[in-house]
Amino acid sequence: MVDASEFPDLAGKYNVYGVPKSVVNGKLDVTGAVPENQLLKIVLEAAGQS
Amino acid sequence: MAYLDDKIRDQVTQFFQDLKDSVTIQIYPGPEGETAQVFTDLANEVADLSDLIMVSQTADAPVLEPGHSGDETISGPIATLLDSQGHATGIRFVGIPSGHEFGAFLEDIKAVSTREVNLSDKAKEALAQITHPVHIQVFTTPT
Repeated sequence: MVDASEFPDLAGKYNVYGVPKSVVNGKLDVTGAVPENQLLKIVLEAAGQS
Repeated sequence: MAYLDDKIRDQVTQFFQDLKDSVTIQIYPGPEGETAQVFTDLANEVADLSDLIMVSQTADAPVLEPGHSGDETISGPIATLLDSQGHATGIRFVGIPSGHEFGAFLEDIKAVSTREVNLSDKAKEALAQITHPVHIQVFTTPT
């Protein structure tokens, strides 16, 4: 978990304008408190498992 | 200054009743002495509520983004949850978990201690198949 206000450089790198924003391996992201299956989908995609 | 009032302390103490194994909150202070002190004080207040929770400090700077580091520097405190064997779990708090995130902080401590999470069986099975390291960053703001 990253506090965007304490780590502004990191938040800027990933264009964090809305929270929560989840970034996986620095490549795939999703904004909002999304359902488990949506987060699972990008995690598996980033891991090369889908 | 105490960050947790008596009511919250009672609730958190109750929440920690079913902890099993010990958990260590290991804090790397980063460059901001004041925020690091706030995080350390908060972690110590939490640790006071269960004999199974410890707080330690490390001078070893963690990698900010494991597996895909950029030029960004560490601008605040970073805490890593260690399991009862002292092994890093991969669960980290980059900045102070305040507001709603305090709840996630407590939930994660409990998850490390009990080795139980709220994911569906389907998700657990899919995640168990992953063979490469995955780094998930969840950005939040204090609320």
